[in-house]
Amino acid sequence: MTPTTERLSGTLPARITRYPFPFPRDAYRYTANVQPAPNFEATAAGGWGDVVVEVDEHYLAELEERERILEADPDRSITLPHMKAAAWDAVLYSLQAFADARPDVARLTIDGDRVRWENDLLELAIEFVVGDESTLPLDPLTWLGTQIQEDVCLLDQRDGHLWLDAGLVTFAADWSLVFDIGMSFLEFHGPVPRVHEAGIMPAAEQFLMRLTPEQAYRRTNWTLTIDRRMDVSTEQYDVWGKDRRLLTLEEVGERVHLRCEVQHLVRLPVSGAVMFYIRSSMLPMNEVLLVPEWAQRARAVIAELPEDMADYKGIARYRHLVVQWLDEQLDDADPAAAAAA
Amino acid sequence: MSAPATRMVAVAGIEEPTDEVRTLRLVSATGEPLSPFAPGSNIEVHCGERRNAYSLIGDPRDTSHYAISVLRVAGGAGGSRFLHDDVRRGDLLTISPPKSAFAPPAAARHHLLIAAGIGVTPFLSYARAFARTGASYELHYVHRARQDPHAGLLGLPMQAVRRYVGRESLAASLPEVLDGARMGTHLSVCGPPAMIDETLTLARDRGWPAHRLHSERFVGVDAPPGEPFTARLARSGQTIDVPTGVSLLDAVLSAGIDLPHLCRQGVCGECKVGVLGGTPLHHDLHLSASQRAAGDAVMACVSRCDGDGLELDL
Amino acid sequence: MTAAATATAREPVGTSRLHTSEPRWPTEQPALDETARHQLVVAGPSTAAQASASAWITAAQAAGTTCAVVPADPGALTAALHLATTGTRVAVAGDEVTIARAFAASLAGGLVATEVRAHLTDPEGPRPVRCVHCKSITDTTEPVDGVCDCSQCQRPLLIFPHYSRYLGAYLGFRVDAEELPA
Repeated sequence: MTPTTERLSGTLPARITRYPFPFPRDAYRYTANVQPAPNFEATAAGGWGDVVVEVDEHYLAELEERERILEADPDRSITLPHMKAAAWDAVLYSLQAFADARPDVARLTIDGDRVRWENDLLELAIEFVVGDESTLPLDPLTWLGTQIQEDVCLLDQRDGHLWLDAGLVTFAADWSLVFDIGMSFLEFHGPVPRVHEAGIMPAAEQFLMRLTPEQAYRRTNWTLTIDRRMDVSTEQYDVWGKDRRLLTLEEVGERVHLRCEVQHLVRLPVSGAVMFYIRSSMLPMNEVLLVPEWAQRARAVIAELPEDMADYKGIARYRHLVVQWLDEQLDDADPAAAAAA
Repeated sequence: MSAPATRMVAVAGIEEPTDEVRTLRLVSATGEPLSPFAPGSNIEVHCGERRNAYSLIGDPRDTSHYAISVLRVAGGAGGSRFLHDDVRRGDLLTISPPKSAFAPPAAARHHLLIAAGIGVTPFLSYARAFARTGASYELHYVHRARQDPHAGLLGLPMQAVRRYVGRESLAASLPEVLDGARMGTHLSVCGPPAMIDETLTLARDRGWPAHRLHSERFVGVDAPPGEPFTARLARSGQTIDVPTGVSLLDAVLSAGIDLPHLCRQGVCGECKVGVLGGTPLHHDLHLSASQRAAGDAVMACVSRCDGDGLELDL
Repeated sequence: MTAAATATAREPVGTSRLHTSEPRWPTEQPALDETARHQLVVAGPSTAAQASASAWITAAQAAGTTCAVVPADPGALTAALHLATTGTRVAVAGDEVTIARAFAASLAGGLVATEVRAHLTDPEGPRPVRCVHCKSITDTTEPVDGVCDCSQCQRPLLIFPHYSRYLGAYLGFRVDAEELPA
């Protein structure tokens, strides 16, 4: 670590020091950027990635937000009938990952089919029987969503492909679970530009089909979101879409958030399903700016992004404001540039 | 994926339902719990020089022990005789972690299971998993006339079992069984190769498409670690030996050369290296067929060499 | 997704983007699956669809495959599949709506995609669009990348080149979402 980094780590809150800053270089293209997980990755402000299920300061707020979203639209959680075993697998894997990450607040005890789960953050202690849905207050996947901040997708592997046959997705970034349910991996990635010509998706699918329970992997994806709006699903596009037009330069620092998705990829042991966690972490530009290396890199990436990718990510209409704002802030912060001006 | 580590188990119980079949109960010898597994998984048991694969017949979610059932192979020189004659309660064995080789198709509306003899073993873990999920299934189980060495195995929570004595008896019923299977049924067969072939051929003849047909095939150990070769680095002039079992990436990194890398699985493309001479063995998922044929680049993490050496643009 | 794409003209369905989820139903009649034991044939109301179904039935009879004709009504196909056994295939001829509904009913009935053959006899006919906001399906003759009004909630929908065989519809979402008043 550089002296600067040490100073920053000492003063910045965990939401910044543990932020999974997603840009390894000054330009971004889609790649199959997978790596073994968990694995700590140092950033300019600290680091992240040493746990698979991460609990942060937004834990209670995000779980409440998820409950509200599901109440308004139960289709955000879907388990096709043949994915019940996968849903139970996901519950057991996730609770164990939670307990491993936060032994100070969570404990999992398994005795045959009987499971005891204690989660001090929710003041919850519950016993349930694996395979018996009547022992949980909700179906397994929806219930799992009351315990972890991650969204979850479960893919069945058959006929040489992976199929999106179950999911709990309340924090979708511009897609719709209920529309994509039942699609193959290649189908539900259909709208993503560039990746098909490059052959990335078939390679990624092949990689996922070779996953074994012994080793999890992860990748990151990113976009920008206006306001700390977790639910930017296609369903809600007519609610949030206009913000892209209405955003002003003065609002960038507070309203525009860098949204990083950490996706963990896990082969579940009994069902054989592939599980995707999608964990969305948002940081307002004001706070990105507190780490000068991040601000400069984000500026470079957002400015350089080809138009079709910017369009797909939904930032084509306002990214020039973000770049302009970052330029102004970085100039102000740079004494040499200020003197020159 | 890299080959998972082996682990030590202790033989906690031995049952001999017949003279020919031995069921071993294996528990962790290290205190670390065993992993849950997919129904139909097998483990490799190290029997001296040999490694034999056996289906796990217990509950896939029960991590307190594994159970395998071993048929004595008459006149066999290998593992089955070792496990029958030499292994005692309390002995330690080395096993590989469970490998999912014959998992039930989750999307099946109904599972039609057909087993002959010891081929019933993978279906014992299916039955335990199906009992938990409520999946619909039926088992047709055939054994030889007058003797059923595996009868003891069927004392498990196995419903909807129809038993046949002799292959002809099953063969006479199969057309009706296949024709009557409701839409969405998948067929899984386990037994001697000839029996599998006959069953699958009959199913195809009755209009069953290939994706509804599944049969047990034992998969061997992971891909061999590869032949040794030499990498000549054109830019630095170095020559690096890549021994068997060591990746080109690791050999290059050990030589102090910084090569970007990420996934170590031949998928991300980060460790792509230009090839100036020699014939690559690619093994990766990143390059297209035409790029692979061009042979001018390899993924250092998985690619090797067909011959003694590669000249690299490093 | 932006409204900018709306106005761009595009090639007929199935000839352009190679890797999306868009269906490319053949406009030439595909042969029946010879390995089937039983065949269910679904035909839309058009003359072309009926002719296609007749040709399939003739071919099935010549091959000695038993064959049943099912009305182009998803309920009828669902009922037929409830009684069907493995070894059965579905062949459907008609416009995109007929194909989409028969395909979705087939998947729901336990078939997989390769057990269904489709013949798009009426490429100018309607296509189904699912409103992502209210979840109802509207049949429209507007092209993909065009705009239609949701028959349920009346929102103007961009017909997006993203298709679900499982639901039997294209994705539709509010085309002017970003232009709505503050």
